[in-house]
Amino acid sequence: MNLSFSKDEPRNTILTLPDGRPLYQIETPSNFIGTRVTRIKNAAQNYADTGMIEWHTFHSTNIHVGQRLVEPHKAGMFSS
Amino acid sequence: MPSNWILDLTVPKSSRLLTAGFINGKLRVDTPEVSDTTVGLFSEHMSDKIRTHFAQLVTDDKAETILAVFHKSHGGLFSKARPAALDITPEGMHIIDDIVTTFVWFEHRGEKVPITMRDLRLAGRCIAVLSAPALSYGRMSSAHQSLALYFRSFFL
Repeated sequence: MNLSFSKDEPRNTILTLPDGRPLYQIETPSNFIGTRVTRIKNAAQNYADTGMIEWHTFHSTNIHVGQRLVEPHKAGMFSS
Repeated sequence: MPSNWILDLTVPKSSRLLTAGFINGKLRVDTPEVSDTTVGLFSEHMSDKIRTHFAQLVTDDKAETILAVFHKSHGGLFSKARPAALDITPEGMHIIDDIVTTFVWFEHRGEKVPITMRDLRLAGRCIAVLSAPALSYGRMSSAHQSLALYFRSFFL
């Protein structure tokens, strides 16, 4: 399934199907105070929430998909 | 030595997600001359030396089944303009919500990948391995077999 981005900014874009119908709406309102939150909504399901990303400045970003949480907790380096 | 970022992901056991894998980002520079004006972050200036950028989401196993491929947008100067696109393969369709959500995270983080000129010089004119943030996660499929995935980025 090919999804096109309406804008190159992945945090504020609409993903559309080849026939032009929107499938996902991704929005990140600017927020001067507090945590920026990206919401991914499914346009085919009446814009129901499908995913959410909380961009924290000082600790890990939280990623939710449905009711599940994906939490990046450590970044390390290694040589290859 | 060039270095890679490893990003471990922990998820609650109740989420039925597993932690696995990491990615490598690879950069190949077409031209041996690399100017000094872009020290620091991967910048616009670099992009004219790098023809395309794409990222893949693959399973973290020997099969490396491709679940999604991302193509950056094309300018329309010499070819037909093409918007950025995320291709979900049939194998990835059952977790399309996961792919779209985690891809937003992956791609946004990807903008901040520090690719320094030093990395490029160390690599000479062929292939540089550079740091790239990674998202990887596994998921229990309906058949209760674990499926580990990881994103990998290529700059070709």
